[in-house]
Amino acid sequence: MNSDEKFEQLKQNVNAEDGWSGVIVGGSLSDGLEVRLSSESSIEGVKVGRLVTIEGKTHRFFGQVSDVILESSDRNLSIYSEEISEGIMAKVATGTAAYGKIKVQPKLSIKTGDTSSSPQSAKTVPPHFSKVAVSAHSDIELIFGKEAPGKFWIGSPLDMESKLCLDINEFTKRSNGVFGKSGTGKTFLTRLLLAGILQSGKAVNLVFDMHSEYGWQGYSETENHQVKGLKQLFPSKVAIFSLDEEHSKRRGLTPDYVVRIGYKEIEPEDVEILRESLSLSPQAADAAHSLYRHYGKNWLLEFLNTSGTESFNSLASQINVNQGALSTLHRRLSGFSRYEFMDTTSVHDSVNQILRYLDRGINVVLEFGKYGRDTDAYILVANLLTRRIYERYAEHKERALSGIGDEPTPLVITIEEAHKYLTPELANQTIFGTIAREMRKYNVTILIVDQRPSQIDEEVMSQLGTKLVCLLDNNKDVDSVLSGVSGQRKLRSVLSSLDSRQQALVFGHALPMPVEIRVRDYGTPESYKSLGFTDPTNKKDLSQINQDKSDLFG
Amino acid sequence: MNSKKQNRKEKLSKEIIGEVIRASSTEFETQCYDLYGFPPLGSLVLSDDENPIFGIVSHSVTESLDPSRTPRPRGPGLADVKSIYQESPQLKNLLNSRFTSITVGYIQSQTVVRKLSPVPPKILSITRISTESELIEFSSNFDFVARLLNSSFASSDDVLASFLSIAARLRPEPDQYLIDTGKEIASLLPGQMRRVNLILRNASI
Amino acid sequence: MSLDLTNTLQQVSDMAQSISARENERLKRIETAIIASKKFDLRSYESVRGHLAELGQSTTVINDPPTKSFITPNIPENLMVAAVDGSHIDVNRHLAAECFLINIGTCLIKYGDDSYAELQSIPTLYASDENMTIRGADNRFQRIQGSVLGIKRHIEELKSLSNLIKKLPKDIPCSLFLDGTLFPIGISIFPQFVRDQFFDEINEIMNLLFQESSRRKMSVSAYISYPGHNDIVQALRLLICDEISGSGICKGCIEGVKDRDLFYELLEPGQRSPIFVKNTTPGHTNISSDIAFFYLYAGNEIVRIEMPYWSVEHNDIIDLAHGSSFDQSIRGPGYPTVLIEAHEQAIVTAVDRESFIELVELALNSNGITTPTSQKNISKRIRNI
Repeated sequence: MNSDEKFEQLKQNVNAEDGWSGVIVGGSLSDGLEVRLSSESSIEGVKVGRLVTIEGKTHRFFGQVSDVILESSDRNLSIYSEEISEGIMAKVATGTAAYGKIKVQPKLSIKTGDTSSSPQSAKTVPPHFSKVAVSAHSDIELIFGKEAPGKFWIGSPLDMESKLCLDINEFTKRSNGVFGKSGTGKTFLTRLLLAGILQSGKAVNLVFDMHSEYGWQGYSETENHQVKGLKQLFPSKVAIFSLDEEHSKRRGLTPDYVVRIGYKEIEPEDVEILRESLSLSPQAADAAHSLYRHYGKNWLLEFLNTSGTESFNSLASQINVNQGALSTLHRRLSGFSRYEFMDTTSVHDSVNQILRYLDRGINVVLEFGKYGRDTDAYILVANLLTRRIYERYAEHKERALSGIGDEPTPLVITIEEAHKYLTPELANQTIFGTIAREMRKYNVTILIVDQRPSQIDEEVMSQLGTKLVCLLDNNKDVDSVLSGVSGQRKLRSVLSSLDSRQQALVFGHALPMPVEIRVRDYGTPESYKSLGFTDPTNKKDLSQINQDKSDLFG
Repeated sequence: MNSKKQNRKEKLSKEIIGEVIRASSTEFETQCYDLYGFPPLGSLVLSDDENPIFGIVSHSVTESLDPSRTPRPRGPGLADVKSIYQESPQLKNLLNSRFTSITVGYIQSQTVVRKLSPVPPKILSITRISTESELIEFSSNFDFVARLLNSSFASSDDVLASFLSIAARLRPEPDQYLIDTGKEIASLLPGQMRRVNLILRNASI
Repeated sequence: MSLDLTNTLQQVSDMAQSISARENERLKRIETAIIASKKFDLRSYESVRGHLAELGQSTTVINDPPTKSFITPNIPENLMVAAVDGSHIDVNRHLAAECFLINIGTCLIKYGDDSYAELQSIPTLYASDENMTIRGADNRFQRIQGSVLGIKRHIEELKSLSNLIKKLPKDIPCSLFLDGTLFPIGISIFPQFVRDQFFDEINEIMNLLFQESSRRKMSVSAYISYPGHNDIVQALRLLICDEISGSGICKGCIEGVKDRDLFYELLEPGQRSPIFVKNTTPGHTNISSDIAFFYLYAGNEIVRIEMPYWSVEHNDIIDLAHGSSFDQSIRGPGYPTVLIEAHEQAIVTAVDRESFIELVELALNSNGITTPTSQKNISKRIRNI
């Protein structure tokens, strides 16, 4: 079968399904190609973001619909629209004088007939009159790869059933981001990504699970029921750490480890990162360093135990810090004493525990429980633990570089509410900023899950390798997500047309071209099964779930 | 329709109406045997010698055989035209009806070719109106549309409309035929939807 | 340089002035003629005529007073009308081949039920010596060309007319027309053997027509538009001229008045004069020269209708000729339709003449005959400077 015949067949398939095809009539590589729809095509079947295949002379091109336009070959059509809008004339004019045009952004190309290599980014455009049709399943596979180890099925291109896969290897090489306003399915998407990373074994996850959604179970707002967390799906590969044992227990869950933080473990940097959320002045934040120099490791406890105006005055003069600043710092930090995970005595082993699990390739989900509602606690703990873990990874890696031992398993740290501590002011000072900028120098990357990307430091944003963006409606957020990406204007229109659920625009290093996807289902028995979950107890369970489901939905 | 009736109709429509008196690559003129014996505008005719050539009647004229002698009005006295011809029978000898057909195709080894004929019809070849089946076959492909639109005739649009009207009537779904042809016309006349509209409106009456 | 029109113009306007000066005089004479016609006395005329016949002079037979008029008769609803006209290309001495061509046009119209018309033109080339010469008994001969050809053509027209009758249905009245006089004029100047030849031919045709006219209702009319004849004026003059009556010398009282001037005043549109007979040989009937005639107010002018002499005895034939002539002249309009169409068929235009010459030369050349043509002819055709 030559390519023409193949294309004809493809077109027929597509026509049956979507009802459109077209030919290239103009355009450019930078501005996109203009495609005139065939007169039989139904313009309503064309959707922005749709992946299309263009059959050039020697190359097959892949692109994306970026705009749908109503065109007319007659400039005066609007003047006498009335007389031709009725009867047979309307049918004649449709598809001839009044026709549909779409804009297609060419992204990739591959030599016709080449099935072994993967498509490269398009450096030219197909010639005039090349045929354009919706990409077939085989094209999607050619572009994004088949589902295989290391290729994780993340969803389907919009309006298609094909499985669109993410190259996990590429994905974990850099820090990444999942964005979208709340309620758009960030968590579901993240959970899938985590499962994908976990399944691939290319990296281990450390999840700072603010709202306790990833570990044991989450809640689906659309389906209105509980969904399984990672631990339920991959019990042997996931460990749940908890900061709030009570909370875990209430949920009938025994955490693998209860994290405690010793006052001594808190360093001035940890206070600095909270500067914003604690509304500390720069002087007050600096005071922490002075206190550290003055008291040493146990500075925080010592400081918090200081009381009385006189002691404050003397302390202030001793460490040469403005007294007001000092007392402010004291007031703010005294909130720490409410944290039950803070421990005055012991020197805790949390970091080592986490590392032990990670070393064994077991993913760690740290559930914050009630502290999830306290951003300060989240930032404090996440920052503190990450800094330590990062230091250990750095050592480990440097040892490996000098020939001692293996490289550490790549680590992906998932953090939420990043806009609160990866702000332009703080990004430089936090460990997350460092990690994001360093790429995978020490085999540690972060996965940012956030709803306000515009408030995250521009440099951090620009370092993110792959971004998965659900619906965003704030222009600034959209700008920040798309900054530095080619074809911004077109992606913007794609982004703004996303559904508010289960749809995302994915672009960056892990895939050859930006693509708008319907995120893979998560939460149904089938979806669990497709993720490799086999019910360990018995088969009744599965039928029970189905039963429950039918009870629930009738 | 029973076959007898069909036969009769075929025979009738195969009527020979005149002979070619002028022929060029793009058109040929037929002089009718009978005064006013020309077919309606837009009819498909054939100059039927050994190389039958299709033409679409695009221009009909009745005038004095001798260009220096013009008809003289008879005044308002006579009741109707018919009685004028009755009273002046010589008019039939002095006037002649001719029609010009735009060449739109020919028959080669029993297939219809919708192009200009390599050679024009011979002078004095007989001209006949096409049969229904010939008309249906000829009009089933829209290549003729461009020929008509590109012809130098000032009123070729009306000729096209008349032809379509005749051809559409022979089809079970005349409107669909006009829509299909209309799309062809529209693609040949980009930016001229009003003209396309006029053609189709004339054709659908 | 062709005709110097500025020079001609002066002469033309001089002529017009002199005619205009004579016009009053002419009107006076017409007035006199009218008075004379009103006073016309048949018996006096008959005696003068008888007197002149004794002297061997032929005069017009007048049986009714010239002032008598006849209204337009009805014509049959179903009527055949036929006409013949001819034209010719004379011998061209510049042309290599000696030949002439006569083209006869005929027109036949059936009126009434199932009306139809037939138009035809029949050209005949005369090229052989035999065809082109009239021979006498004593080796005398006359080439047919010039005025002889004119007469020859007239006779051919008559022949065609008699042939046309074969095409006509017997049961329908028919009216035949000729353009001009019934008999050719000017035969008398030719030698006897030529005259004899012509008269023989005419005789034959007229006999044929005579026979036919007994078998069907048929009129033969020679239609003369704007006739220059003065037969009736001459007859009037016989009665009023002092010189002729011997009572004085001619004062030229009605001299120069034409019959048409007279009848223009006497007739109303559609009316005809009485029938007059022109008898070439007193006391003897000559089928090839004697005619009956009348004047007719046909629309805009007075025309003269000449008929074979025998028609005078048949009122229905005269009515047919009168009615159909008037009807045809109305249809024309002004001149009979049937004659117009016959003429259109016969006509040989200047272009036709050129084409004919070329055709002849071409034919000669293709038969290997070089055609030395006169320099004059060449220079006529190639109008270089």
